[in-house]
Amino acid sequence: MEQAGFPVVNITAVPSVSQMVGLSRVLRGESVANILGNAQLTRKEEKNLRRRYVLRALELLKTGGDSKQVFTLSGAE
Amino acid sequence: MMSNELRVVHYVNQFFGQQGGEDMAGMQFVVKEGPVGPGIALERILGARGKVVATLICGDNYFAENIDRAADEGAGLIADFKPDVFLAGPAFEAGRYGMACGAVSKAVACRFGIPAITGMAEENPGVELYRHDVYIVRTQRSALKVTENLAAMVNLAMKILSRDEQSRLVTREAIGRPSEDGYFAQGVIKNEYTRKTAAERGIDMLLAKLGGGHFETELPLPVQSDLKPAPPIEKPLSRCEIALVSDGGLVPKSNPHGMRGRGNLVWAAYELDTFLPNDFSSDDYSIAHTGYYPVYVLEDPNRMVPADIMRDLEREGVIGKLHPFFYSTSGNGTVRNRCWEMGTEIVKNLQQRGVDGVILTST
Repeated sequence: MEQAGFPVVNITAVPSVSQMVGLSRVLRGESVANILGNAQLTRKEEKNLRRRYVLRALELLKTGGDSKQVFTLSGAE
Repeated sequence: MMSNELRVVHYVNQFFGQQGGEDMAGMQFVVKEGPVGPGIALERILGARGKVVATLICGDNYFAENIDRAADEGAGLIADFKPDVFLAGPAFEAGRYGMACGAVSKAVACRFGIPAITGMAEENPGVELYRHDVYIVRTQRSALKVTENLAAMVNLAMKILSRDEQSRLVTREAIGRPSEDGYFAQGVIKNEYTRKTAAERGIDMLLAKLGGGHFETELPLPVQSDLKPAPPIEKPLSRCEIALVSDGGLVPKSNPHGMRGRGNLVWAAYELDTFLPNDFSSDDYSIAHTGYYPVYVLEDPNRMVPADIMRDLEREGVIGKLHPFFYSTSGNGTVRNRCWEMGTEIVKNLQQRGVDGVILTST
């Protein structure tokens, strides 16, 4: 998709694989089995968390990204 | 100075360590004395040469979600066993397991200066990530030949530990070429003594090449990943159409497109309004992906495919439009070529609709 000119943000709990492929907009999500959720939170809190992730992803779509970095909700690793 | 019987420590994941399946993938490190699971075959292979003094077990998710921290933690836990050799896996094609094996082997080799050897299939992401640091024996994708694979790992370890007078290497290291000893090339150039000069070897190679015969390069050229990122979105998000794609294997209950939980080859486009409405029912979905614990996503598929949030944002005008189709596939042991092909096929759909950007959710 990137090669065809579509910017992609990959949200994943295992960013090393995405980096290996050469992606520049990799966003670390919550956990492997629950990437945009958190079973410890209430439904409402979870939705708020998910919204933050989606907004962060949209934000990253507007940047050039960095293939050497993994981005997080609050910044980068 | 090594004692007569080698002290071997073996790393396995929660499944091979007999702690559980994906449901236990989050478990933290546990150390058991003696061999566990495939470690029993390993000890048989070692015979009089050594004993599996301890088995280090960890959940694939616990490890994969913070690889460097887990590798250090794991290495620290085995110090007291004073290992002569560390073996991990083999992990075959299991991606998280392969990365864990590579990472913990690297940490152990660095910390203790002992041979640390693992095994995995060629497509395992652990190969590209760790082959430069760790000896990775080549295995098949399935666990069918685990005993042979363990034997190959042990042979490599024995070779490294031996003071082999027959070594061709200038450094006198007792290790054969990757093709000889069945491990993935490390990208390291080592000098050998040979009978023929470089000029003679070069001519031999050229004659073989011209005559259609077999020849082996002495220096394979590295393959670069030259993926140039797509340019960022320039216009305001409020005028953009954004698509959701996922390789987590979310499909309708009947899995009408026959997506496979492992080694999948297909993708499908599902119309979001009908596939994942806001008033969804968990009963209407399956997860065609055996590589993670599916319970959370089945409870609420928005946890994998955030349609709920995207609809809110569209309504609020934060984004212009949520692309009406969700592109679903399953990326568990999926052959790399086919992944690439699926991407280009999905691209045709994105191009038709003038999509501006993609959010791809994985596990």
